[in-house]
Amino acid sequence: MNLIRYVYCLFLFVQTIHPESAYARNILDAQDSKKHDVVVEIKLQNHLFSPAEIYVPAHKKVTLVIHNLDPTVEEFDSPPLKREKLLKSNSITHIILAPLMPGRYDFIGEFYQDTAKGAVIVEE
Amino acid sequence: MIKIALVIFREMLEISLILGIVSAATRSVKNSGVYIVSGIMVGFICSAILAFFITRLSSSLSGYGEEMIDVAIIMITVLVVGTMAIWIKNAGTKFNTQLGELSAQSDNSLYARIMLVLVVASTVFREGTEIVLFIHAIASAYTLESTDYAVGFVIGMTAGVGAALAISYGLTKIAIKYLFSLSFVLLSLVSASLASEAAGMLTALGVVDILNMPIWDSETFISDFSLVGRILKMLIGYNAKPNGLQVIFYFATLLFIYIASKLGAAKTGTFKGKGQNVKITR
Repeated sequence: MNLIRYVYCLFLFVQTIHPESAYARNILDAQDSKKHDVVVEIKLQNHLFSPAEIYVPAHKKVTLVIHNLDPTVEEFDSPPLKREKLLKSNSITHIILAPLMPGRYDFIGEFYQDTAKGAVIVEE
Repeated sequence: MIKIALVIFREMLEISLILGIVSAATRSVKNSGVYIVSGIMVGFICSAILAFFITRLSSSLSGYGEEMIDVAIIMITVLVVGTMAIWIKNAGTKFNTQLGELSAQSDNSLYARIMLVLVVASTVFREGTEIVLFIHAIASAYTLESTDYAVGFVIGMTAGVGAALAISYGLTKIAIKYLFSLSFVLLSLVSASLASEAAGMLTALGVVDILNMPIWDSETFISDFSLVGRILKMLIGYNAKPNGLQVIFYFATLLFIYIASKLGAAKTGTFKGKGQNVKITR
């Protein structure tokens, strides 16, 4: 038990001296995401993403807020963005993207990929 | 119905690939089928539990929680599949050296059996949660046409199991000598590609922000979304725009497995020597 307590204290200590640690950043994101994030709302309905093309600035952290209005689960899949995440039915999913280089990053809904297609277009 | 079957089949393919290789290469383990089935069940139960927790979380939080669980699962799979590859390589060496003499003897080591269960369970767990959630959502969304979906599900599953059996059968058809080496190479590549996938996720999340620039871009030749790209991704971990960290993870995993298998082979070598001594004294 002492060891666990010790590790936890160490963990807290690291956070205070190093606010850029992953964990601290995580908390910051949750608190004031609007301050330094680009937040984009996307709707998924009838297996279609709208807007299907999302324009975001380069070198900025982006949060995609996907509202899945379908009664089915979907999987956000994008090899260019190197992300795969489940979008539960009738719910909201946040997908945080680290700053991106300019370019086009296609994504699909893996379960209904005939219709569920979109792209994040990063501009300078 | 066909759509459902396709989704299930696609999700099953990676499981089928690993199951096929593993079942072909572990025929020497006594009752290997029992351990494979137990592995599938353990993996399925774990998937169902994780799926339950995911549905319970009201809306996914804005943090990295889910992704970090994903990365952890992937890294565990890398470890287990890598260990399996090394074991198969050693079993192959052992098998070759004793061929004609002890070939009928089965491997009863506890280690081999536990690992067999683990490798199957972790593989099923990795993809299983998606399958469980997919089926759950469909089952709850379309209660009226449920038979249609049930049929689709059964077709998809059967096709997936069929693919695993086909891979397994195909592998047993090739000479024993190559079976182990080929299984070793395939599992090493799967392991390395999973490691690079985990690295990709870490950089994409921004958890790691070094070496996150793409090393090359082969999108124009083989797109990630094309069929060839998808098959290559499954087999060798193809990525059209891999970043530095992914490439390092990929080759470090391969190198590590290779070195570990060489160390194991050295041990098996002494085993072989002993075997020969026994033969002489006889």
